[in-house]
Parts: sequence; C-alpha cells; structure tokens
Amino acid sequence: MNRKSKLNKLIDESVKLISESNRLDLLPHLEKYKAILNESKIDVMVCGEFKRGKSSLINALLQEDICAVDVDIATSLLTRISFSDELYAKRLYGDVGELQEQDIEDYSDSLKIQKDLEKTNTWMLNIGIKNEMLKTGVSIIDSPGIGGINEMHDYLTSFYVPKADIILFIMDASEPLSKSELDFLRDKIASTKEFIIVINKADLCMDIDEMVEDTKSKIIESIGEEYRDIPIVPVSTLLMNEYIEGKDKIDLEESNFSELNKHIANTMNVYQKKVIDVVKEGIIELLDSLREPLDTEIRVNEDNSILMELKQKLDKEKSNINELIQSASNWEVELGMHISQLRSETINQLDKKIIDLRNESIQDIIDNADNDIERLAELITQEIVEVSLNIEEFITTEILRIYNNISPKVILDKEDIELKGVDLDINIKKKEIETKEDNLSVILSGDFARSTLVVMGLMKIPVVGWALAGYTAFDTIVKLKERNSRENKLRIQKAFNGDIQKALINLKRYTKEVLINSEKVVRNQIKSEIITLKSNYMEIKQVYDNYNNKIISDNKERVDNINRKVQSIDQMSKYVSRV
Amino acid sequence: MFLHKKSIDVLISECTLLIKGTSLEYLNDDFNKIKDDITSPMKIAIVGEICSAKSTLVNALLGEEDAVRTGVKEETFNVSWLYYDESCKKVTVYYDDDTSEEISFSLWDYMANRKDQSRYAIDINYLKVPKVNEVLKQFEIIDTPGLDAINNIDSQNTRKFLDKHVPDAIVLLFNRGISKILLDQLALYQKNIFNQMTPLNTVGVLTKIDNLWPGESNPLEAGNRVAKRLMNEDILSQTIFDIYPLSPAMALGAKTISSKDIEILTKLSKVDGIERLLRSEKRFVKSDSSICDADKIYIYNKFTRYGLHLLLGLLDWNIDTLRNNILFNSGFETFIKSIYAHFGKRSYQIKLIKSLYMVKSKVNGLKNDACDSEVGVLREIDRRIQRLMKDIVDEDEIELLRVIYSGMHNFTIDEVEDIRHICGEYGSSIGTRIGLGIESTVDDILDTIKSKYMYWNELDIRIGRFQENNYPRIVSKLYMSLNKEVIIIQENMESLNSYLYKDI
Repeated sequence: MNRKSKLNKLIDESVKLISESNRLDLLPHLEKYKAILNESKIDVMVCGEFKRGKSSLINALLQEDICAVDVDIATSLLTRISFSDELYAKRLYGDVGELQEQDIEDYSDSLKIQKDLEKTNTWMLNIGIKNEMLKTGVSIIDSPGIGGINEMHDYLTSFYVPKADIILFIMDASEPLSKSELDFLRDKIASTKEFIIVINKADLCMDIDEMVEDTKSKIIESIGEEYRDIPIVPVSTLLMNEYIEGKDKIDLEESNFSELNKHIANTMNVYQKKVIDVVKEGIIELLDSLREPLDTEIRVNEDNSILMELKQKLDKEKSNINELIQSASNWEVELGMHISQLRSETINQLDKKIIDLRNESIQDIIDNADNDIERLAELITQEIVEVSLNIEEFITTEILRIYNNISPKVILDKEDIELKGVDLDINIKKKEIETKEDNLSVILSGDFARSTLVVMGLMKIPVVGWALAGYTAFDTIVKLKERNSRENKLRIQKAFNGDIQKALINLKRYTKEVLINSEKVVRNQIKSEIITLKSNYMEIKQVYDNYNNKIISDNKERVDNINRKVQSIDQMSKYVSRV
Repeated sequence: MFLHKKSIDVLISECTLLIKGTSLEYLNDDFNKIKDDITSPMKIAIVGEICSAKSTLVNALLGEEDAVRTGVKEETFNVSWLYYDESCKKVTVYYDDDTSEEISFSLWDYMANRKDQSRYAIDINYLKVPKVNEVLKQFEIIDTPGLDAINNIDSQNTRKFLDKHVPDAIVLLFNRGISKILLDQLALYQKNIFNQMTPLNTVGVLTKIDNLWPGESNPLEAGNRVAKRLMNEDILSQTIFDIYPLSPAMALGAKTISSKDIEILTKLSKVDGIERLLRSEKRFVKSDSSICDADKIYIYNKFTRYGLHLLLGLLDWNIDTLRNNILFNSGFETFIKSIYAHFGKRSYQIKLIKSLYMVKSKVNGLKNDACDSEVGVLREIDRRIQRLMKDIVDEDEIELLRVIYSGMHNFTIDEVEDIRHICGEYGSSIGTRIGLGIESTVDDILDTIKSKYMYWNELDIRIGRFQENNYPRIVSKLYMSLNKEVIIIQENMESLNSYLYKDI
C-alpha cells in the first residue's frame, strides 16, 4: 500500500473516531484534507518579470503554439492550460466571488485575444488541449510579467501565485538576477512554494555556469542558506524551438529542456510528498483538537486539590489531638505555670492589702465608724469583702485568659467541609463549643460566691465574739473615746487587728484553694473539649473517608473511559505520523 | 536665441539690483554661475537599469572601444564624468567629504568598476576623467552605475552624485520595456532629476535590441513598435521626448570596425552552417573552425550575433558598407541624430532652464529662514525667474514635436517640415524657424511668416476651433508670436538707425 492509500484509510478511520466523539464540527476539515490528498491536479505556474520569455517557454515546453508571443508585452491575462480531449477556450470574467465563464469561439489569434480582453474584466483564460504532457493532471499557468508599469499585470500574477502548486520563476540570461526579482522570490514565493529558477535565453550567455553561480549566491545571500539546493536550470527556448522545427537532437540537448522537464518532474514529487506531509500534519492537528477537551476532562476529574486540602487539615487535627491527649502535654504544663504565676500574684496582692488594711485603711474606718462598734465591725467586714471581690474578679479574668490561651483550637469543623462542597450527613454540636467559655465563668463565679460567704463567716465570729464579750471592750472604747482619741484608735485597732488578720489569712488560704480548684476546672474543661474534638475529628474523618472513596471510584471509571478514547486517538496520530 | 541671451542678461542685472545692499548679496555668485553654466558644454547623464549597456553606449558615443570599461555583469561601480581636456593626463577623484585627489588612468579602472571593489568605492562621490575626443567638446558625458543593483551601493553612488550635480540632460536606458522599479528609482531622485525630467531634456533608449534576433527578424523595426507603444503610456510621454530602439554594442562595433575584424569575418564566412552556430554564443565559440576561441569571443561580443548575421549576409565587404549597415541597423543613426537635433540645437535652452531651476530652488529654499524684508526680495526674484522660464519652455512646441515624432498625425511632408522648423529642431534663430536662409531681409521674413500663418490658420479653421488635438492651431499661434518678435526687433532697429544717423 502506498502512502496515499494508507493515509486515505487512516482518514476513514479518523472519521469514525470523530463521529464517536460527537465532534461533527471536525468532519468538514477532515473531508478537506481528504480532498487535498486526492487532488490529482497540479498547477505549475510560470511567472517572472515582464519580457522574460515566459509564454515562449510554455509553448516550447508543450511543443505547441498556445500562448501569445510578441516582441512587446503580449500576456496580460492569466492563462491556464489543462488537458482535454476536445479543444476548448473559455474566459473567466466578472467580479471576484461571482466569476463567470464564457466560451471563446475562435482562439486562433491568441495575441489579439489577449489584447482585446485586456481592457475587459477578464481574469483568466482557460484553455483545454490534448497534450500528453498534461495528461497526468498537470495544468500550466502563464502569467503576465511583473515589474512593468501596468499594475494590473502584477496584481493578476500575485493573485494567482498563492493558488499555484509549483512555480517556475523565469529570469533572463542576459541580465543578472535583479533586486526586484529577488524581492519577489523572497516575499511571494520562497517560503510557501516549491519552485524552480529557470534562466531563459541561455543562448545569449557564454558562461552560463557563472550565471547560475551568481544567481545561486544571490539567492543564498538574500533569501537564505536553506535555498542552496533550489534547482537553477538554464534553458534556451530559442534552441528548443529550433529543435521542434528541425528535429536536430543537438538543438534539443543544448536547449536543456530535457533537464527542465526532469526538474519539473522531481519538483512534482517533492510537492506530492509535501502534500502528504501537509495532510498528515493537518490530521494530527485535528486529532489533537479532538483530544484536547478529553484531556481537560481528565484533568478536572483528577483534580483532588479539595480533598487534598481536607486531608491535610485532618492530618494536622489528628496530630494536634494526639499531642493534646499526651500526659504532660504542652497545654497542661502551661496551665500549671500560669496558675502558679497567678497564685503568687494573687497572694502578693492580698499581702499588700493586709498590710494596708492593718496600718492605714483601718484608721479611716475607725474615724468613719464614729465610735459605733457595730458600724465599725460592719465597715471592716465591708472592706474585707471588697478585697475579696476584687481578688475574685482578678482571678476570674486571669483564669479565663489562661484558659483562652491554652484551650485547644479547632482546625477543621463541619463548616469547613461544607464550604468545600463536601456533602455531610452529620451535624456537629456547634453550640457547645461556642458556649464553653460562659460555662467556665459560671463554674468559677460559683466558687467565689462561696468564698465571700467564707470570709463573711470568718468575720462574723469576732463580731459576735465582740458582742458576746460584752461591754468591757465596748465600754473601754466609749471611755477612751473621750480621752486621747489617738490612743483610743490604737486600742481599737489592736482589738480588731487579730480578727482582721485572721480573716485575711483565711481568705488567702481560700484563694489558694480556689486557684487549685480553678486549675482543676480548666483542666477538666479542656480535657472534655479535647474529647469533643477527638470525636468531631473521628466523625469528620469518617465523612472524608466515605466521600474520598466515592469520588475516587466514580472518577476512576470516568477517567478510564476517557483514557480509552485518548489512547485510540493517540494511536491514530501515531499511525498517521508514521505514514 | 538672441532674445534668450538678452533676457538672461536682463534677469541677472535686475536680480543683482534687487539684492544690492541687502544681506542677500552673496546670491550674486549664483546669478553669475548661470552665465558660466550656459557657456560650458552640455552635461548628459547616461542613466538606466543594470546591464542596460550604459557604458557601451558611452563608448559608442565617443567612438572609442575602451573609453569606459564594459562587461556582462554589473560592472560600473562609480560615476565617471568624461570631459574634454587636452592638457590634463590625470583622473580626478572627488570624495564625499569634498576633498579630491589626482590619480593615473590605470587606477581609474580600478576605482570605477566592480572588479576589485576597493575601500575607496564607498567614499568616492565621482571621478572626473579628461579625454581628447571631439564629441566631448559639445557634450560632457556622465556614466553612472545601474539602478536596481542588488548591491545597493551602486544605486547609492548614482544618487550621491546626482544630489550634488544636476546633469543638463538624461539618456534613460531600459532593457525590455520600462519597469516600475526604474520609475520608482527615478522618483527617488525627485528633487534633482524627476522634476528636471521633461521631454525637453530626456530621451529614452530601448537598449540591446540585438537580443531580439533571431526571434524577430528585424529587431530595429520590432523595437520601434515597442517604443511606440511605450510612448503611449502617459507616464512616459510626460517625461520622455521619445524612445529609440538601440543596440549600443553594434553601434560601438560599427564605429570601431577594423581590418582585423574583416579578416575574422572573412574566415567566418567560410564556416559551414554559420547561421546555426549563431543561435547560441556557446555553440558559436565551441564550434570547430580555423579561428581561435579568443577571436571568436572577440568578434561575437563586438558585433553581437545579430550584427554578425547582418555582416555575413552582406556581399560587399567594403569596410564603409559594413560599418554603415551595422550602424543603421543598430538604431544608432536615428538616435544620434535626435540627440544632436534635440539636445544639440537646444543645449542653450536646456542648460539655461536647468540653471534657472537651480537658482530658483535655492531661492525658494532660502525663503523659509529669511526675515520679512528678505522674503519680499526672494519672492520677487522667484517671480522673475518663473516668468523667464515660461518664456523659454513652450509646452506647445514639445507637444507638436512629440506628435510628429510619434507619427500619429495626418500632416504632409511639407507640413511636418514646417513644424520641425518652427519648433526649433533645426535651430532657434528666427530665419531658421521659418525655413529661410541667412541672406533673407526683414521683409522676406515678415512675408513668409504671414503666408505660413495664413496657411495654418486655414487648417485650424477647417478643423474647428474647439476640436481636441487641433495642432494647426498651435502652429498658427507660434507664427503669430514669431511675428510679434520680429516687429519688436524691427522697431528696435529703426530706433537704433534713427539714433545712429541723428545729427549731433
């Protein structure tokens, strides 16, 4: 099987592939490539500057007088010569996009036809002749010369160049390749077309090899090193015509037309190969575009970044919990440290208060009591209660602060998971977590309420004691009052000092107890939170695992499906590229 | 001619007066240069595409085989300005930086041509080459490198030169027909050349017509056909007086034909199937014959294959017959006649127009930076130059000439002669313009003008006043204005006579 039929078969299979994938939009492209591949017509266009002998060369090549030839510019229309059993000549005219065809009755005077039609809106002559050279589907296109002052000639030629398959660029042996010729070659032909440089009128040149070398070096220098092997074929149309007339083999040989024919045949092969390459590339490109959305789908399906993120968080949570439940874990150490710090701070404050109360504040209180012993006891009690309340507030705030500092932070909760779009069946009791701080406060303040009672109880004993002690102390105070008040004050102070100190020491002791208790409360609170945390984690983990398993199994099926398609596309591309 | 000379003197003295005592007094040098310019030989530049045989044409014009170097590829690299000088034996090289140096003739070739491109090539503005050749007494010839050369420097060198030196006239060569590139390249010289290119000072040459043979059995005739069609292109008829088909190589060959050539030709005539050999240069040189290869190449290049075909076809081997035949078929005769008729007789007019144009553009350029009082003066000078230029170039004359040269007319031979005369093709004196000899009196002149005017006026009326292309009307108008000129002179003469014979 040759390359062409191989490629044809692969195109047919690609059609199936494309239809299966519901990509019917790609089918017309594939059909276009099939058409390109199976196009047997090759357009060989002869172009070059004006008066280079293009038409004469075509006539000599076909050995037929078909193109108009004159000493003056004769070709003003594109002329396409193709094979036909029956002779015909038609003109293509009208507006671009709405071209019309009309038969030309009499084509015997081609020069006159070119001249007559030049001023009309004719674009092209289509000529059919029974010429063996054209039988394989080759058409030869004669074109008006470029570079003259008639811009329409340039336009027509430039218009057809992109449509041609092979270009014969004609230059003249009596003139070196000019800048304008090089520019045309470089800008219009070289990069897109297979071409042959034909140096016509070689009979005018003594050293044609030098001419060929000169042309080659100019092309390499101006267009590029990759054009080093572009065929440059000197020919003599004159000698070929001599041969056609006289059949002298020497004329044929010296005309070099056989060589030109050989080069044209070679270039056609190169062209055919190039067509196959172009079709191959085109199909591979089509297959790529068939594959592209599948790739995207795979990518999307394989995209588990959300799960990855959740997994990461879960792992972190897990290690966090593990750390929290360890004995002598950080939080416990920290709690102990903070509590002991708080204790020393509190005790310190209480000590200060005791000294203050015994030495300074008591004086004012005595003054304020105005010798009323009941009132005095009440004031002192009030003062002590105030101290205890202050301490209570201080401790409560501090304990809460400590708790807040060390209570475990939740890394992952249900909300997180829901936000990620993960479907959950389990509700987490969020409220509990939210209100835990309040709970603690209640617990703590309950302690302190008791502490006040304790203090009050302590104080009551001396007052009652005082009352029971009777009037001696009382009387003493009353008596003293009238004498030296300063002396009295000291006596009263002395009378209460012991009780005050006792009460404060009790308070101190109690505070210590409270702190120890608070520590316990906080510890237990945190421990219970850790347990909640752990159970939350377990629940979320379960959800995650279920979800993860579901997605993976779902995707796997889908991805496998797509992958199978992609594989068959890849396989097809491989086959195509191997052709 | 008389009037022009007088007018230019008047213009110069008027302008000198206008600038006297002003800051513009330095312009005096430019005014006086007009006078120098119009007395020096006419400078003709040979401009054209690559390989259009410009240098060969220069050699043919001078009738010297090796006046300037020639070759098959792009050869001429720098501008060479050939002038007449018996005493000077050195070529002067003018560099871009306005310095110059004298070199020997042997170095000229080295510097002007592609071979051994020297480091000088780029810095040279042009080479001034003295030659003892009668042709150069009338025309100085400027040989230029081809336009559209791949090596851009060649074109640049032509442009560099033309930026500084404006030739009086241009011979424009093209190979197969006029290309857009050539027109574009010429447009690049717009400032100094394209504005200057008028049918008055530009002729075209369809060159290397020898290459048309054997495809065309009569290349000259074929060339004429192409030339005629080209002259129908507006862009050309507006800038070129006419196009002449020409084979510079054959012309040079004819002019330098020698007894040695005849010897080789004689041998050639005995070679069998010579016509067949002439179909290809290579075949010709490689053929077996008693002639050595060097001689074959020499004779082929000298006469071209068409030339050889002509020569070998002649029966009379008299050197003059050979020369004349080749010269005629080269198209050179028609060309040179036209050059002399067109440029020669008109050289004064062409040079004057050019000089005036140069001063005019300088004056116009100065206007931009001038103060108010100067602008007034410059505008006045510009106006006067403009007026004089209009007097000198009569566009109607050029139109008429083109018509009769194109052959697109129904005039009789006598009528054509009338037109040639009145348009100054035989000289610009009043007598010559009406076809009278120098002995004719003023009355003869007036009578002739009158009768010719009547004749052409009648033709004019017959055609119809408002008809397009009413050439007789143009002719009758020319006679009318000539009549006026004569009467003015006559009046001046009478006053001169009365002055001369007046009693003191």
